[in-house]
Amino acid sequence: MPTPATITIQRRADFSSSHYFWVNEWSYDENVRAFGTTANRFGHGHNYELIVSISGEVDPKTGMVMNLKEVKSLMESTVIAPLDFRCLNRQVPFFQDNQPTLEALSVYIYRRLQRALAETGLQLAWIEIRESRELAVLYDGSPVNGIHEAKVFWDSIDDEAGYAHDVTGTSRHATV
Amino acid sequence: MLLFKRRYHFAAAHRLHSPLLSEDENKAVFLQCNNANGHGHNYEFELYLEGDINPQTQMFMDLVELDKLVETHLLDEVDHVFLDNDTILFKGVITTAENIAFVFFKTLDVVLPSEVKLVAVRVYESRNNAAIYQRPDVTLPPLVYSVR
Repeated sequence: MPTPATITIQRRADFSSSHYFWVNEWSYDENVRAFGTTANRFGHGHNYELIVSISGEVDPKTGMVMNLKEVKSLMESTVIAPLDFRCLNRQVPFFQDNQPTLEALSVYIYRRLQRALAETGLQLAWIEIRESRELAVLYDGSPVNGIHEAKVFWDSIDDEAGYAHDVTGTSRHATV
Repeated sequence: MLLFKRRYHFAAAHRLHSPLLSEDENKAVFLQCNNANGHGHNYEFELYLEGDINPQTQMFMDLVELDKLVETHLLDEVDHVFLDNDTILFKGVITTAENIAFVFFKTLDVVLPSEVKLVAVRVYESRNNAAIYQRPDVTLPPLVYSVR
């Protein structure tokens, strides 16, 4: 019998979230200098695009590596639901410890998908997250320095609760 | 590996013509691309970069700085020019997508900050064709998947 081939399947999904960049230890001026308009703490949004690649052997009974319906619901429950139509900074605990950059987001998404996939014996290969047509990150799950992973599996916070809004004012750059 | 992907675009004219081939051979090999008057494309290219993440900003590089480098060393050279004649980048080089990817890689690789590693460059000539040059010592994700 021939050795079963490893096939990689892919599925994409969209989510829409808002975020902003702000380092607490820095002054207002330092933050604006570093992050420009993205330091506006009212946040701004993106239509993110997520592409997930899963590798495994083809099941001879179904002819599938994994049922795409299951891939869809797994992506939906583990990463889309906690992120979609949320403010990453205020409603996703992982981003209390991390800036909501694509780099950090890719670690958050990879770890959650990987844990959900573990039961199936399938291998999460690469993921790609696109913030815009111009900007994306590709990640294979290898260890990354500089990201705080303690809260990666924490639940997101409901719209009504959120973290205390510490920002007031109506100017382009909010003031504390 | 965590790869950062940034895309840029430019518009340029070019002509595929090899000094090593006769006029007839050039026509036979490059077909309509050999037209002596040149023709143009809306090029796009992607940089794939790797680097340590700054623990405070959690970015691997200041994007504004990256954009400035790309603008100075590549875009200013190639945007709205005739690639074969108007820029020093392609002196003696046939301006195929393959060679553009290679030249862009070599040009940027030496000007990027040392803590950032350029891993690959992909150049799209049109929606239908692209060329990738990658550092030989790295294994890339199946980039063929992440089409534009």
